[in-house]
Amino acid sequence: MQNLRLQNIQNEILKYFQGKKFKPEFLDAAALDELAIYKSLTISAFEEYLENIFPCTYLLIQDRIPEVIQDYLERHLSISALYYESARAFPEFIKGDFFQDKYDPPNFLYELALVEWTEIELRNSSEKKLQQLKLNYPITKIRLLMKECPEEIDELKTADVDKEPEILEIRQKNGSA
Amino acid sequence: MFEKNKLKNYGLGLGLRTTIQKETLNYIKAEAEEGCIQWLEIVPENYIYKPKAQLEILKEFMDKGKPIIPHSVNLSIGTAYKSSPRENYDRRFLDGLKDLFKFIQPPWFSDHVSCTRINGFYLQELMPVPFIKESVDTIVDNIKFLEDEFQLPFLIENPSYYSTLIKPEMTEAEFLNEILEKADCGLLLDINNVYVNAVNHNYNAMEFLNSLDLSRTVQVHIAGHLEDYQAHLSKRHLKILDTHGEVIKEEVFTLFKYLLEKTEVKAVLLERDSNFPEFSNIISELAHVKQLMKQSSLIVNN
Repeated sequence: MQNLRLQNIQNEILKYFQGKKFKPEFLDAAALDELAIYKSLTISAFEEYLENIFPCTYLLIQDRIPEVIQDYLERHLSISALYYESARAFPEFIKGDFFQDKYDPPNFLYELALVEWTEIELRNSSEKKLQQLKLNYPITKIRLLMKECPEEIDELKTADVDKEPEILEIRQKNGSA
Repeated sequence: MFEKNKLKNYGLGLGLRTTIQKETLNYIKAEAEEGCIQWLEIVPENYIYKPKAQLEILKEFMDKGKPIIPHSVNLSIGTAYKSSPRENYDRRFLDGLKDLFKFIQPPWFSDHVSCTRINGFYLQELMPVPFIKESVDTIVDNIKFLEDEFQLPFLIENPSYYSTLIKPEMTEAEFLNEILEKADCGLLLDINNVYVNAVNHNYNAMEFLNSLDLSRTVQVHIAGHLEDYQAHLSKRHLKILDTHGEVIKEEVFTLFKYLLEKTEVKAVLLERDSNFPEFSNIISELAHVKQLMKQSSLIVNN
């Protein structure tokens, strides 16, 4: 236990990042304000990942993005050293009760995020080459609509799309999905 | 034992980032003999566990005679451990880095004096480490573990920081010097971070450089920063933010020139991580850095 003091300081930093209530015993009181800078930087950086990894999903939640990211990171800090993997739990986060209750998203949002994540995962995988997704909503059509008619995006933010099952096959091609 | 004089001179390099990857390769393919990019730096965490096809891009640079040098962000040398530094690193991550290093054959590897991982969770930000003796001992143990694992010289980078977390037991320079000496490792001096910290923490940048053991400087990072931080993020009292997303300020060039008068460096890197301008502007900035390096007798370009 040669570095117990450092462990205690770092445990308090982790609590802060996880949004847990605590009274600082080991950090200076001023440090909490300063840690807010780091939290802001983390949220800004994570917004860039979300925009790259989940381009369509991002457009539909963009209005509340800092709040969404803070909620996500407080619940799903990554255990991977790879940046892109820090977004792995994002589709499940969208599917979960917390997000559904707080943000009341369009009913297809989870599946949209799942498709976007699956594409990224395949692009970065050295093992998987193909993934089949059984979807309840017409995600291919929705993505096409977002691409071709950006003016429809605002309407989609509050839309309840009718179920239209789709089986989507995503393949890896020469290292990219 | 750390032997700076056994390390080769690499000259001037550029951070290889996805946004400018194609333009960088096109530039190198078309560049004249005296081009501005002699080597490339990568963030290795972006290249491990990937399909082989994604490593081909690195091979293209290497085939053009451009060495690839890794600069990590998640080795988290400032993380406290309970019984051994080994517990700070998962095997899959270390093996992924080893495979990559085998592929690119780097002369050294590096990371920031910071903490990015706590109790197994990655914070995705370079968190500061308090300037206390306990941090020094922890960092030294982590570095020794990593050097033993990778059998390569390790360089510590002086990070920019926005908090000291607790009352420091020593100055920033004393802290870094003690790590350098006890870990017997090299220094990656980020000259922009020196400037950013000097302004934010109200000290003299040149005096800071004078108090640092510059003889261990192997690599230099030079980059831009964001001023008027208040306008960028509200409720903050800092003056500038280390973003690597702006042009290099004259004050930073002044420090760079001062450094080159004081010690020999083996490699200089222009860091640009965001807010990318036209690629020709990056080349112009590189050309200016190269000119300054040529004026220094302490840099030998191969």
